[in-house]
Amino acid sequence: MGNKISTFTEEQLDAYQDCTFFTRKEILRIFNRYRLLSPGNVPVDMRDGKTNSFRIPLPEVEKMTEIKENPFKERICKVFSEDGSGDMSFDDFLDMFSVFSEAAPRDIKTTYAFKIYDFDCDNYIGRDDLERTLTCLTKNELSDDEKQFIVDKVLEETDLDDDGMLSSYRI
Amino acid sequence: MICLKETIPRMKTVYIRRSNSKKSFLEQVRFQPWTMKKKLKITSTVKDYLERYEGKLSKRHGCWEKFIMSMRRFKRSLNDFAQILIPWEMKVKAIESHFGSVVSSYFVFLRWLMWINIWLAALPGSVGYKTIPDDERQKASQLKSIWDAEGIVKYSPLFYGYYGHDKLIGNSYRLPLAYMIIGLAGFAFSFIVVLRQMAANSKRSGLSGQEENFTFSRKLFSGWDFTIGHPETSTNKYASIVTGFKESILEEKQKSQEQNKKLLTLLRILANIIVLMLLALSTYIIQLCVERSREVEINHRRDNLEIGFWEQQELTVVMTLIATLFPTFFDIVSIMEKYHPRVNLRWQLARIFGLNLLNLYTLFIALFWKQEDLKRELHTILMEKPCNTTESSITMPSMDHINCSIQQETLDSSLCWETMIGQEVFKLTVMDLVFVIGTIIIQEFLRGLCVRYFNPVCCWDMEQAFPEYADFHTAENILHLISNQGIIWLGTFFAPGLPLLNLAKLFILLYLRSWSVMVCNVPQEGIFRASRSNNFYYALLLVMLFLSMLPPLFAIVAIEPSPHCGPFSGQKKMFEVISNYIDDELPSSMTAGINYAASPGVIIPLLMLLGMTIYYLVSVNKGLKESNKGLKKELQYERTEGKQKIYAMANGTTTSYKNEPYHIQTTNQCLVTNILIVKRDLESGQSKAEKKDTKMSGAAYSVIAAKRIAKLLNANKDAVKMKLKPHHPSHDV
Repeated sequence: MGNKISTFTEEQLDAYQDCTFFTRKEILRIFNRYRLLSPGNVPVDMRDGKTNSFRIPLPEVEKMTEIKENPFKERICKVFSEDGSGDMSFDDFLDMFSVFSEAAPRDIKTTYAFKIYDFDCDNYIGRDDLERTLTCLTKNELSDDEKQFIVDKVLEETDLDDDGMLSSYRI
Repeated sequence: MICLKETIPRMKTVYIRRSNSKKSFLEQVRFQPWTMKKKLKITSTVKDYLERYEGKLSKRHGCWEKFIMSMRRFKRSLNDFAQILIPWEMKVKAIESHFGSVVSSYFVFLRWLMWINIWLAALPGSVGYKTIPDDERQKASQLKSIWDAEGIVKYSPLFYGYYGHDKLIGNSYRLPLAYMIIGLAGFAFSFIVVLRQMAANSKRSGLSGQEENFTFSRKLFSGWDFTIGHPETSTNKYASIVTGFKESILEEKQKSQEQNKKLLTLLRILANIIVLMLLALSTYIIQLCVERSREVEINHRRDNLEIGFWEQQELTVVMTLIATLFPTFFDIVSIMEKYHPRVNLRWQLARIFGLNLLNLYTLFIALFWKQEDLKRELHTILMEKPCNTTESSITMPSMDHINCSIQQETLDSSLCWETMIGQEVFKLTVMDLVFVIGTIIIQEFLRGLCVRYFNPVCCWDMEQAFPEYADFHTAENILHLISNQGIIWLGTFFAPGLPLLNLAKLFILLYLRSWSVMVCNVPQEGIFRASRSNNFYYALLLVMLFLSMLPPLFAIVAIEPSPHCGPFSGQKKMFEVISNYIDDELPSSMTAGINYAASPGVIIPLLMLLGMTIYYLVSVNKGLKESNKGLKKELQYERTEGKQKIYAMANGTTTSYKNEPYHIQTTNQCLVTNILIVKRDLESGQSKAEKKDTKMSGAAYSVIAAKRIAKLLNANKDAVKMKLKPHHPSHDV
C-alpha cells in the first residue's frame, strides 16, 4: 500500500481507471514499467499534476521490449505523445497501453491505427502514406514496381471516391 | 407561490436528468480517442459537476448515489481480483510476446480444455463398493500392473467395474441411475460449453465475411502482429509478410492468364489416392493388432499363459505410432500438390482429423468384437461348470462351493468388457502422453541442444540448413488436443475417472509445452493463421464431441452389459435402468404419460417439427445473408456513385434555375443551401458522427445524409408541382 499512496493519490487512480481499460493494479504495474524505461530519472511522486512534467525521450521509449520489434514504433510513439514529438509523459504512456490492451474495443483501435498509418498527419492516407507503411512493413525488400502495384491495388480496393487517398472512415 | 411550487420539482428532474446523462458520459470517456490530458480534465469536470449538484437534490437521492458509488467501487475491486484468478495468464502472455498471438492461442485453448475437464472430473462423485479378488491382490500394487491399468487401478473408482449394482445404497441413493445420468450429463455439459464458447467467439468476431475482397488492404493494414516482441519472430514475420505480398501479386497476375493445369490436377488426384491408401492402411493395421491381441488373450486363457509386456502394449503403441508418424507422411504427400500454404494447411488438418477419427472408430469397433468374444467365453465357462451345489458330490460339498465362488470372482474381474474398454482408453491416453514427452525431448530438446553446441564445429550452418531448430506447429498441436479430448469423451462413460487422468495430462502438457516452446522452438517461418476466426477449432471440437459420443450411446442402447460387474449388471440393456425407474417409482398416471411421450406417435411429429424448425431457421438465415449483401451493396453505392451525384448536384444547381419564377427559385435556393450544408456535413462526416453518436460510423452517416437529400428533392418536387408558396427551410429535416 505504501507505494501506491506515495506515487498517486486515490483520486488520480480513480480517474485513471475511468479513463482507461485497466484495473488499479495494472496501472501501478504500468507505472513500474514506465519507471524502468529510464531508471533513476522518473520521479516517484506523481501527485498533483506532476504526471505531465516529466517526459521520457523517444529513443528510450522505442527500446521498450513491447514495441522494439514493431515496424511502426516511431509512429506509435508520435501518435500517442501529446505534442507529437514522440517523447512520452506517463499519461501518454498509459493511454498507449490502454488502447493496445485486450479490453479496448475495435473502434478505438481502428481510430488509432488510422493515425499510425497517416504519416503526414493530414487526416487522409494518401499514396505516400501507403508507400511508407509498406516500406516499414517489409523492411524495404520489395521492388518499386511491386510497391506501386500493391499501393494501386489497395487504393482500388478501398478508395471509393477515386481521389487517391483514404479518409478516416473507410478502414 | 404556485409558480415556485412547480419549478422546484422541475429543476430537480432537470438536475437528475442532467446528472444521469453526465454519468453515462463518464462511462464513455475511455472509449474516446482523446489524449489522456483531455480525458482527465473532462472526467474531473464531470465529477465536480456531479458532486456539486447532487448535494442539491434530496438527501435520499444523495445517499442512494453514494451507495451506487460504493457499489461501483466494490465491483471494480472484484474485477481486479478476478483478473488475478485467471490461471497461467502471465505464462501465456510471455509466450505471446515471444511468438505472437498464433502460438499463444494453443495455450489458451489448452487452458479452456482443462476447465472443461475439471467439471467432467468433478461430476462423478458417487459411492460404490467392490473388493479386489484375493489372487489378484498379490500383484495388484506392482508397478507394471499400474501401468497396464490392472490391479489396484482396475478396481478403483476410475473404472466402470468399481461401481456396484445394488439398486439402492442407504435410503434413497440409486447408484445405477446416478451413474447413467452423470454419464449423459457429462455429454450434455460438454455440448453446452462448446456451443456457448462458439457463440461468444462469433459475437466477438462480428461480421467478417468480406475478407476475400480486400486481400491487399488486409495484408497492409493488419499484416503485423502487434504482440510480437522477439527479434527472431519479427524477422520471420517480415519475411512472411514479404512472401505473402509476392504471392498475392503473383496470384493477381495469374488470375488473368489461365495456365495448363492438367498435370497439377493429376498430381493432386494421385496425392488424394495415396492419402486414402494410407488411411486404409492404418485401419488395417489397427484391425490386425486387435485380432492378434484377441488370439493371444484366448490362448492365454485356455493355457493359463502369462501375457508378455509387449503383447499387452502392442495395440496402444501401434496406435500412437500411427498418430505420430502418419501426419509426416501426409506432409510429404502434400508437397506434390503445390497448394497455397493456407489451403495446404487446411487439407493437412482435415486429413489428420480424418485419421484420428478413423483410428478411434476402428478401435471401438474392434473392441466391440472383443467384447463379443468375452461374452461367448463366459457362456462356455458357465456351461462347462455349472455352479450347482445340490448336484455336486456328497463327499466334498464345501470344496466345490469354494471352487464355485472363486470362479465367480474371477468371472467378475476378468470378464467385464466395459472396464476393458476403459482400460484400453486409459492406456492409450497414458501412452500418448509418453510419446508426446518423448517427441518433445528427442525432436525438440535434443535437436536444439545438438544444433546449438555442434554448430560451431560443423561444416555447414546447422541453424539454417539441416537439422535446424524445431518449429511450433500450432495447428497440428491443437488438433492433437482435440483428438485427445475426443478419446476422453469416448471413454468417460466406461471409466469415470478418465477426465481426472486427462486433467493431469493436460497439466503436464501445459508446463512441458510452455517450457519447450520457450527453450527449444523457433517461431514458425510461414506464420499464418490456421483460420481467421478461432471458431474453426471449436467447430472441429464439436464434431469430435458428437462423433465420440455415438459409440457410448450405442453401447447404452444396443449392447448387453456384462452380467457380473458394474452398475448395470443384470439388466438386458443399460438404458433399462431409466425405464425401470420410471416404471417402479413414478405413479402410474405419469408412467402412462411418459410412455405416450416416448411412443412413435409423439416422436415422429416431434422430429418433423424439429426438421421444419431447422428448415425455417436456415431459410431465415439465408434471407438475412441476402439482405446483408444488399445493404453492403447499397452502402458501397451510396459511398461512390450516390455521393458523386450529390457533389455534381451541389456544384451544378447553384448556376441554373436563375430564370424560374420567384417561389420556385427560392425553393431551389433553399434546396441548394441544404445540399451545401449536407455536403459540408459529408466532408466532416466523421467528426459530426462522433459528436452525435459515438457508435455511428461515418459510412452510416453518409447514407443518412444522402437519404436526407433524397427527401429534400422529393419535397421540392412536390412544392413545384402544387405551386405552393415557398416554405422556410428548416435545417433539421
